[in-house]
Amino acid sequence: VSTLLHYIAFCRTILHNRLSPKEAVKGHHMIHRFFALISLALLALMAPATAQEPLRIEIDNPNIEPDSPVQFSDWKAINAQALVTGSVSTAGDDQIVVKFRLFDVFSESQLGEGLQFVGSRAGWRRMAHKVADAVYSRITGEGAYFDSRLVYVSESGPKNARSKRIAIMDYDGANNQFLTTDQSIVLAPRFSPDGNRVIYTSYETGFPKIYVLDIGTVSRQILSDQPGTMSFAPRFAPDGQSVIYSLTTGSNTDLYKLSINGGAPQQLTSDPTIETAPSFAPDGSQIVFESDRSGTPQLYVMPSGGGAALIAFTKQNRGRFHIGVMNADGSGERLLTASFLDEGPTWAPNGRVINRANKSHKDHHYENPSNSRPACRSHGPVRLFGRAFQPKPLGYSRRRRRWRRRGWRHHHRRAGPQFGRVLQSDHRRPGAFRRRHLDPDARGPRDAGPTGRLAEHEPVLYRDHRRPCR
Amino acid sequence: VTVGFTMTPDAKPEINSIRLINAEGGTGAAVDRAYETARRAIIRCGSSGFGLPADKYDQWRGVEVKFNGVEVKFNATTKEIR
Repeated sequence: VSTLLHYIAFCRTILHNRLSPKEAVKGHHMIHRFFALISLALLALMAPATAQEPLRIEIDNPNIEPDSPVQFSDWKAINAQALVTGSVSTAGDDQIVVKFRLFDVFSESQLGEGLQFVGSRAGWRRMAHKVADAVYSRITGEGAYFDSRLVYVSESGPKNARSKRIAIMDYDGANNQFLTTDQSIVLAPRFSPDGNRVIYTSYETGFPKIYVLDIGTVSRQILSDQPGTMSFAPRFAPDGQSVIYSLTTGSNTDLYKLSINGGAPQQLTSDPTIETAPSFAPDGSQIVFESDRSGTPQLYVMPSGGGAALIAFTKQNRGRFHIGVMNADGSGERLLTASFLDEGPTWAPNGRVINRANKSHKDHHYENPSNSRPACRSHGPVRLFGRAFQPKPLGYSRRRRRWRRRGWRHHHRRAGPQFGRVLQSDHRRPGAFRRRHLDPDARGPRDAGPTGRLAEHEPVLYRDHRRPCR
Repeated sequence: VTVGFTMTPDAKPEINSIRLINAEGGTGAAVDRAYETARRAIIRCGSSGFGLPADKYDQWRGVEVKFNGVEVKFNATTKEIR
């Protein structure tokens, strides 16, 4: 109505006063303001009326089927961001059918197509995790990890008679199953990439040796049995066909690679120092390992081709343990946790979450030989926020990197949602923003660096920052 | 039956405000019984608050719930897990 009145008034100004359209526009500004005031007043009158309208809900059918129409306004009212509708029903003797649909409440649209899972009654937990996986990957666009398992060392008993067993469990702790007896010390179990086998170190023979255990049959075999040696810290290659590990002969420890089907081990390092804890990059092109060749334990990357990766590691600093990640070239180190004892970081299959073993300071008090109460060690995931943790291409100049880091910190301190504002208030580089506008052609690549870098990276960072809980 | 009530800012129903607004079909005794059941359901479900966003208090301050039993079916042949 306001727009229509506007238009009529504008035409009348021109006709009755015989003004040129330019003059009319000037006069029209006053009318414009007048109508704007009227519109505001109308809005002010209407606002309380809409606010007092009660929320009307009809409860007619207690069963919300996957195909029922969704009342998006109701879900918006309680700030729900996503909505899953579904049903579980039985079919036949031993079958359950799970149907579900996922909706984006704010765009009022369905995310992907409706899905149906049919499985046995005994497998209902697995199906629930499959639904969670589908929801997670549709919302985030990344691989999910709810339908995954953990392999770990279960410890029980007092500290002077601690028994250790390899065990597997579902991601949420259910379906715990012990794979070894408590007769010998076991260490560092790892899944094969297909999840069918576990590789670990056992002191069964009195010396550390590597064993491969088949989860389906719970049968195990020794991987490499060279007399007079100790082998430990095994990891599967990403293709699951070979294993890298540490082998100690005499007083020297080096890295070796061995095919899972046997054959002769291949020596990867030959240093008089200790090389251990090897791990493949996800693409299999690089190996990260620990060595004391510099005098103190440090991480090294064995270059075997290109590619960048993220390395998760444990760091001890001033009596506290940290789980951290860094780029394969050692840059971008970021500590994710700080606690009395955090160790053994492992990646979730989608590369977004790290699992680690954690022991709190309180638990430590229980861990003395006179107390029979076992120390409580828990597993817990650590989420990686932000794409800043993802592999970055190497080969940018040091100057650019410095700028990017400065941008990152600056952004964090101010936490301003407006990216342009952050740039303008950057007191360390006054004028950079303005210069870009005044003289775009003459600006050298050095000025383009900071603005270009920031513009490229910060919005991504900010977007991730806004949705930390997935 | 349609039952109206108002809510406190911490998303709990104000018990004194629960009232019968409308009823269709059924005798007076059946309406009374349906209303009493609906009233109990609102009080019991809302005793610890419905967990609604405080910034939208204007939207859910007053609520009218229509309890419609027409589509409620009891199917004895297929057992459903919920």
